[in-house]
Amino acid sequence: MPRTPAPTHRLQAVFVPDRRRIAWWGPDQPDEHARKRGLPEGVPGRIELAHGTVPARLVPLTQAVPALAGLAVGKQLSDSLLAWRAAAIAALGDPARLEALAGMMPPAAHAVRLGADRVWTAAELLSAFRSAVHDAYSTADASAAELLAARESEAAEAPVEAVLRPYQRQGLSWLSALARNGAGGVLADDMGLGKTLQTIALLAMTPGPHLVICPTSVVGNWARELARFAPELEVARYHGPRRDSASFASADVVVSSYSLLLRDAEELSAIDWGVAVLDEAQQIKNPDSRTALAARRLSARTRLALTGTPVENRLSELWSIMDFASPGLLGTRKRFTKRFAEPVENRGDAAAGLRLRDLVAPHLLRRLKKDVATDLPDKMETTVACTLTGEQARLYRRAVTEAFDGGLGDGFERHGRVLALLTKLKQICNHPAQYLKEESPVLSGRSGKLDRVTEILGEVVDSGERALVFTQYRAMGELLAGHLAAELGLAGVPFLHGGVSAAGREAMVDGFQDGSAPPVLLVSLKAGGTGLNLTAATHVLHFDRWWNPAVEDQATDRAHRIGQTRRVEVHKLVTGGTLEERVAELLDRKRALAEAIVGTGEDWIGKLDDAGLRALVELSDAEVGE
Amino acid sequence: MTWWSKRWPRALEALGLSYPDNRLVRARALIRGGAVDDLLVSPGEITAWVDYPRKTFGVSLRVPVLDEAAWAAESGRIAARVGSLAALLDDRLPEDMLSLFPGEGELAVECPCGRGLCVHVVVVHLAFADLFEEDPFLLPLLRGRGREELLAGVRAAMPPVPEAGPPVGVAVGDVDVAGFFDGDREGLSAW
Ligand SMILES: [Zn+2]
Repeated sequence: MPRTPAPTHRLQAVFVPDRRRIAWWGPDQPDEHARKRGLPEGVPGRIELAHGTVPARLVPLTQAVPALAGLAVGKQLSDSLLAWRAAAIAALGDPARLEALAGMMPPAAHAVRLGADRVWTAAELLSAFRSAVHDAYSTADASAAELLAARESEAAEAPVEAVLRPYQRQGLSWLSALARNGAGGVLADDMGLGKTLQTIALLAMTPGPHLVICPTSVVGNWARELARFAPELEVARYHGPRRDSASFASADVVVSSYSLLLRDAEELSAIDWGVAVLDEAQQIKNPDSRTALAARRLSARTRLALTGTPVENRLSELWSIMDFASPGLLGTRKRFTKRFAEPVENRGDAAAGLRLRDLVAPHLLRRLKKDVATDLPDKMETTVACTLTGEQARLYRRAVTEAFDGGLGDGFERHGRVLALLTKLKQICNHPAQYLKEESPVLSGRSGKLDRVTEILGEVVDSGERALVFTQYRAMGELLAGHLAAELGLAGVPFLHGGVSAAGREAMVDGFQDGSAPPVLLVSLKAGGTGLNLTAATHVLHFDRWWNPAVEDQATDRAHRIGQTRRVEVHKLVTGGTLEERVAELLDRKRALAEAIVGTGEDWIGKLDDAGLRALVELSDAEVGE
Repeated sequence: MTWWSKRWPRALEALGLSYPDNRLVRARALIRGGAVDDLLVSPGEITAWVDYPRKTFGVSLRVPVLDEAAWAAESGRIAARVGSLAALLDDRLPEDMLSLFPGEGELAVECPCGRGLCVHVVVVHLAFADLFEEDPFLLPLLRGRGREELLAGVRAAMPPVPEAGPPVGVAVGDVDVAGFFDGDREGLSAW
């Protein structure tokens, strides 16, 4: 007699007593079979049956039972699905009838492991099912109340190397309540309130391994922030052409990108993650997209979506993000549309809006900057680490090799060659099109920094705020002006540089200040001059770095100066693995020393010997994107 | 349309509505035209303003709220079937809550136009049905219990489940592997 039953292409159902869930199993993708039958998809997991462990989708009883009871009998239904349909009908109507079912069930419907060498009998499992259904309905959703309460209290411990602000401690308290309850959520704080830091604190205090999926441009940033705030966590980047899923075994946190979520869905969904985080979760706002499907396939005890904009245009976006974080909470998409999206969007139905809010509230935490204003300093600086694209990495390596192979010489000649190399590398980090001096180039997807800046500015513009973007390079400024206007849907993005007349400069400043001009202004640092008053800006971006804190601070202060009543956020862009990052680290780590060394801009680099210079500029492998 | 929003207008029959009734047609047209404003539902009362014709009428419909004892009986009946609670949680009104609809002589109407069952009253009555269709908890609210209160009452009234001993199970080796997927298909399909 074979020990393992033949594979089945029909969807099977079984009640899993210790998880108190109904499991779908059998075919390769039980979630798709379930969806086709109008059954809730549940979350991925594994169940122990008589013949071994099989992958399954697990659905809470309050979702599974009504759906099973409403299932139409058909030729294609397996006997185990028919059995649990019958059990659901009995449980909702007349539980005494459950006993009569035991003799009709196939082993597939009840042979769940009970210890090492035994399995549940049909009668025992039905009896456990009866009391589980009773419990599921007789107790209010206790976790909802707990989640709502958790956000009002502040987490006592926060195992990160940073001092959390009070609202961040509340956020962490809520996040850990999610993890405790095996629930999922959407952390939708405004940009700049530290979603990353709160998330890292959660990862540090929750059993792993954890997975972070983010846009390619911020993979490096996540790895760096993890190393900074939770240095004891082993972080693996699953990223780039030489990625290896063997690294999962030893890692506490795996950081990967949306493109790999699609490409390596198999590897990523083979692991049972502790927490699965989707950063910039508006990437899955279209529920039919392959990305959204792949995200729903991830197996994790806790699912967390991070986004500054949970709803950009339509309520269906919220459904999609929530259906990843807390599957089934908002019902099927069809029902959601009828119950909430249509009443709210087409009829302005306030009551439906309130019901939706109540339903979502335990699982969605959103704080606006103005809500927590007293908690925040008036100037916040963050270093934004970006990832090189493959094209950038090739150009970068070639420039370094050519410079060293050709020899740098010495004395005055060496000084000139080193500075030329630095300029090349900085241009490559900015954008290949700047370095290659291309005419009307394609810009998107070729520079990690440009893509990240576009994302940041998109959020700034959407929230009705204004930003200054500084670059040292006129050519880069011109490229940015055209690209940003097109990507952000602005009439134009003015560029204030040395070639602009005094009258033109004044007009740009006035337009920016009084709001008549577009909300983004590009400034070439050299052209900055003095007396520019740009206090309408609440965001300052340094696209490339001067490596001279005094010069950068001067630029920042154009927005942040006396008279400025709003908070200013300063974003310093840095490309990971390159000289940009190493110099920035040097500046941060040895600020006092560095200020002395670099007081005269980049001259100090010209004084390094070959080995020192190589260590500073050479590209490290781990940093390259796709 | 749902059974409960279809059922609701019949409460007017006791006040003299018959079929076909021209007031129903006119009321529908007025609702579509946006003649109803500020419809509020609270325990015992539905109120709204109706703009027709050239003047605004403040209409109120009243239904008695149930006392504690009546609610206890009501909760007990709902709790006897888990399916009723499941329906409520899915925003459907279970049929065993039919008794909450206004009975003979329970619905009282008031309109300043003073014509008894006037078109204003019919308008408000039907406008309520439109809201009620989406939110079945408006009926228990009208009878004195909001959603959370109602659910808590029903949960507390659920009868206990008979205790089962710890499972013993059968040996894995005794599982019918060849017939793993085969049950009593006929019996299960007929369930
Ligand atoms: Zn009247």
